[in-house]
Amino acid sequence: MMSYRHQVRIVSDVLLAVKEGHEEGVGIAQLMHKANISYVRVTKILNELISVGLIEEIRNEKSTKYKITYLGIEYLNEYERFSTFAKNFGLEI
Amino acid sequence: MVVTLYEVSKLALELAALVVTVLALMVSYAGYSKTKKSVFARLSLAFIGLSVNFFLNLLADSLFMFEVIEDLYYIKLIASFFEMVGFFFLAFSHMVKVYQEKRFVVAPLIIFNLNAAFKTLSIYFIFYATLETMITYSRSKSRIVLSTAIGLLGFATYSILSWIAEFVVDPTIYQVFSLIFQVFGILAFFVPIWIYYRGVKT
Repeated sequence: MMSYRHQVRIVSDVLLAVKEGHEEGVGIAQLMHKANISYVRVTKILNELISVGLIEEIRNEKSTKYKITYLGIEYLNEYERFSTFAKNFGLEI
Repeated sequence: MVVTLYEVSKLALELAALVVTVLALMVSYAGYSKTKKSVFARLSLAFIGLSVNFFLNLLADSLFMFEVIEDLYYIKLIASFFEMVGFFFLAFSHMVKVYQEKRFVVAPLIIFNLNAAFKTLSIYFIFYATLETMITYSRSKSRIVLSTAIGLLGFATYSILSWIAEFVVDPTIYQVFSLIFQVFGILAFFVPIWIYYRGVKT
C-alpha cells in the first residue's frame, strides 16, 4: 500500500514533467531530473504510461522524446482536482 | 399538529447537510477508487458517518414532527454515534498527517455518559480537525482551507449549543444560534465540493 501511494505521486510527477515538454516532447534525462527518479524507474513508468495511452513516444534519428496525450492531460487534471479537494480539508494526498 | 419555524428550519438544514455530506462522500469515494490513496478512504468513511448522522436526525425529527414517534432517544443515540465516527475519521486523517510530519498535538478528553460521550468525542474530534486545518492554513494561506476550518468550528459550536439546549429550561436562544452555526458549517463544507465540481469538464 505504501509503495502504491508513492507510485501515484511519482506517476503524476512524471506526467507533469512530460507535460512541461509541450509539443516538442521531453527527453529521458530531463524527466529523470524533473521528476527526481532513477533511469530504471523512469523507464519502467514511461513504458507503463505509454501502454495505457497517457503519453506517446516520439522517435527520430537523434533522440527519443515523450509527449503527453489528451488522456494524460485529463488524468493530471483529475489528479489535481482530487489533490485540491484533500488540501481544502487541510489534508495531503 | 403545531409545526414551529425552528422545527422546519432544523429539517431544512439537516436536509442541506445531508446533501453536502453525500456530495463530499461521492467526491471522496471517486478519489479513492481512482487514486487508491488512503486519505480518500478515510474521508469517505468520515462522510459516510456524517451522512448517516444527518439522515437519522432528519428521519427522527420528521417522524417526531408528524407525531409518528415520541421517543427519539435511541435514534438520536445512533445518530450521535455515527456523527462521532464521522468526525473521528476526519480527525484521524489529520492524526495520520501529523504522524507523517512527526509533530505531536494533545487535546483534553472528557466523557460523562454514553450519549454525552459520543457528543464529547465528536466535539473533541471536530476541534482537533479544526486545529490541524488552521495549522495547514497558517502554512498554505489558502482562503479555502480557512473556510473549511471556520466551517468545522461552525459544526463544533453547533454541536455544543444543541447539546446545551437539551439541558436548559428555555433552549430557544441556543437552538437559534446552533442553527446559525450549522449554516456556517454546511456552507463552508460545501466550498471544497463546489470547487471540485466546478473543475469537472462536461
